[in-house]
Amino acid sequence: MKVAQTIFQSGDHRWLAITRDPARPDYVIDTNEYLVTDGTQALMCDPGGLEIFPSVFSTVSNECNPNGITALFSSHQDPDVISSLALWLEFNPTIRCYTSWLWASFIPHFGGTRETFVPIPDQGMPIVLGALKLQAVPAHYLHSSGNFHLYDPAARLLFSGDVGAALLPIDAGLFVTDFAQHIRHAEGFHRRWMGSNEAKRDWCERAAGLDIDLLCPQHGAIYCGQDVQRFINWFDELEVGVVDRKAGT
Amino acid sequence: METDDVPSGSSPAAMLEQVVLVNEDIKQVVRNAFRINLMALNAILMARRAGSAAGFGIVAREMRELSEALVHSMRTLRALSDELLYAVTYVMRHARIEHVLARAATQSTRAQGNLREVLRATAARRIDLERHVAGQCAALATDLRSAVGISRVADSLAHMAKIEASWASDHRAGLDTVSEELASSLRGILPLLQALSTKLEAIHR
Repeated sequence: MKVAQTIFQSGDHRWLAITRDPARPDYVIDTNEYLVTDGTQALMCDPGGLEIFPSVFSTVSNECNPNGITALFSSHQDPDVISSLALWLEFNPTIRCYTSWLWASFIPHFGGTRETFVPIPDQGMPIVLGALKLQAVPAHYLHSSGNFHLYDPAARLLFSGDVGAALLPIDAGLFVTDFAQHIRHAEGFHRRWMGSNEAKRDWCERAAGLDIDLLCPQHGAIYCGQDVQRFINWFDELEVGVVDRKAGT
Repeated sequence: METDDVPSGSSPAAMLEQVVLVNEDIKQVVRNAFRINLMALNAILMARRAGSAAGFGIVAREMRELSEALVHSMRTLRALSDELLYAVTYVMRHARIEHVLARAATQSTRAQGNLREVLRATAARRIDLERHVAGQCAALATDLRSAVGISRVADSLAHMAKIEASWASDHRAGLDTVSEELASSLRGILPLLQALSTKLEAIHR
């Protein structure tokens, strides 16, 4: 089973990180799922793939009643992000899935009906969960052509999908503790997966304007405090959309 | 419940829904059991403070031992419940794949022929997985019965503690309160455990 850790809590408002599955086969990329709850209502960010559904579901059930999960947020269309959709819907057919309008007719190949999807327009939109007002923030072409992050202004937390991702060993900590050391594990990923320098610059400006204490990627470790700005600065300077021909096979 | 019969008559999704409810109840019972354990410790401290209430002290120590056994049983219950949840979720994932394959097989005679062996193997695997779930339901039911047994004995001890408290010359009101709290918490936990057994039987059926 995966490990669940509360990364933010204020009364009934909580963010839970679900990470590091020791039983995960090594040919499946490790993913972080995040659950935001307000009282009994919950929304799951990038709920993960079909393969890891048993592990994610069991871990979530340890921490809260999964019947409270009313919505999924899918940052983009990748299988490691949302291919478990059909199973979440088997458990609760009324779950709604927020995703880019661009993918609203592609993701149903993983499951769901017309009613399942809430298409997010390119400029983003507010997402209400209980008393919380979350914000879908555009991150197009980072890496997907229709891509969103989720910002929680009350928790000062940005769920950043693949931005900030790092390919770390399974025993790595949940939080970045040594930025210089950590970012080496992120560099190759960002150079190759992020397709547009222009989109990257846009995102860096947008992110710099948000009040962020925790930047939570879908792979790797969470950036806290000053490491958030360090990451934004590092990313701003990084040249992306580069294929390393020597490394490619 | 003792046999590992394959549960039938319920879709994996419906079964998961029931298991989630059982898991939620178990979380509630575990919280109560931990509270009872603390109350039993408190009863020992009260008895020591009361000094003259030797009978109460003996009962309180017995109660503490029993409540620790209850907590141990709850830890096992929690672990089994986690495993059951995982297993049922796994069955659901497998059933989804099986369903898609079965749909593919209905598209043409050739597809049906090509998928015949795959479907047979998939169905056999599902039966294995469902047997595994049934085994876990049985293990959970056994642990629940043990927890019910411990709670019943603890309930009798709590009544004895109330009687002993009435004999104490010092701190009688305090001893009364602590033994009443214990008795009341145990009265609360027993129906929860019994309801859980019923729900578990419904899943297994």
